[in-house]
Amino acid sequence: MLGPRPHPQVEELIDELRSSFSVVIVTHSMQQAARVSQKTAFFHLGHLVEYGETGTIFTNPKDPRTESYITGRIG
Amino acid sequence: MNSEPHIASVFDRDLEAIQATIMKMGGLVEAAILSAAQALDTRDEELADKVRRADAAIDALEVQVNEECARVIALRAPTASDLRTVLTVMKIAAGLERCGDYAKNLAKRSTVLAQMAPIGGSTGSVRRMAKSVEQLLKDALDAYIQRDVELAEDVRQRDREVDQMYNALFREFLTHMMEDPRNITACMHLHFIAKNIERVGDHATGIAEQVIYLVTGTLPAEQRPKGDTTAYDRGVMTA
Repeated sequence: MLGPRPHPQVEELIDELRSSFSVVIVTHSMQQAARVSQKTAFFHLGHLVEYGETGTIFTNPKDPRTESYITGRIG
Repeated sequence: MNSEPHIASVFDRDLEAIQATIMKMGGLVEAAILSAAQALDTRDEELADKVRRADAAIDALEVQVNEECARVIALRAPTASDLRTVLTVMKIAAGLERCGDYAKNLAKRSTVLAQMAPIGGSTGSVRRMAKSVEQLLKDALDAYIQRDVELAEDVRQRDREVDQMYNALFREFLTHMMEDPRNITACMHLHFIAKNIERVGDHATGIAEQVIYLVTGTLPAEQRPKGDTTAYDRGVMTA
């Protein structure tokens, strides 16, 4: 779990490691998830709501709960 | 589309402010098109001059929309439908600004045409075409405000009618030019005017396509029907 402050070095390390490892990060920072990941899963109240390409999740999510969360309509 | 408010209500206010600016811009452009066509039809040089001067306000609103969008992108990092709203608004603003330029050009040419002999009832036909296009633009902007995909699709289909009006005028001007070469200057001005009005119809269609993108997340895959055949119609050129 990364803290709320940005960690450019950690994000750079994730980018280096991903050629050899699968890296899973759990974050509430939408910006960070968008920056470092290729695939994004959105969980709400312990349930997987939506999973897909990060670009798609952040531009055109299919589930209205994902849309509400990433656009800041639910917290 | 998500109509729930944001937790940060200032974000909603920012987006509403941008959309209010777009609607103001749309209103000015619609008025400019109608007034310019009226100035042409009634040979009203004062009204034409008013349309020319009013274009600066439309240009200023486009700058304002772009500045407001840049601010929202920088401060709010919009995603999903919010991101599409911002992108759509910027494209609509650019389209409306261009339509304002076409209205200004129409007004400029109308002052030149006012010094020449009338060409049949062609200015009345141009005015009717301008009225149809203004309605198309109005419907495209209504579709945007109401997030109405059906109305946006209707606008896409109706652009063909505008293209057909342009085709008819193209043939009419060609006939007048062939009948009497002294008509050529006036007919060339009238042709540019008709073409510019037809382009406003294309921009209205572009706005309608942006509405579809805004609501559904994808641009319409199907090519819209086109009715402007003048670029290919050899029969007209050699008649």
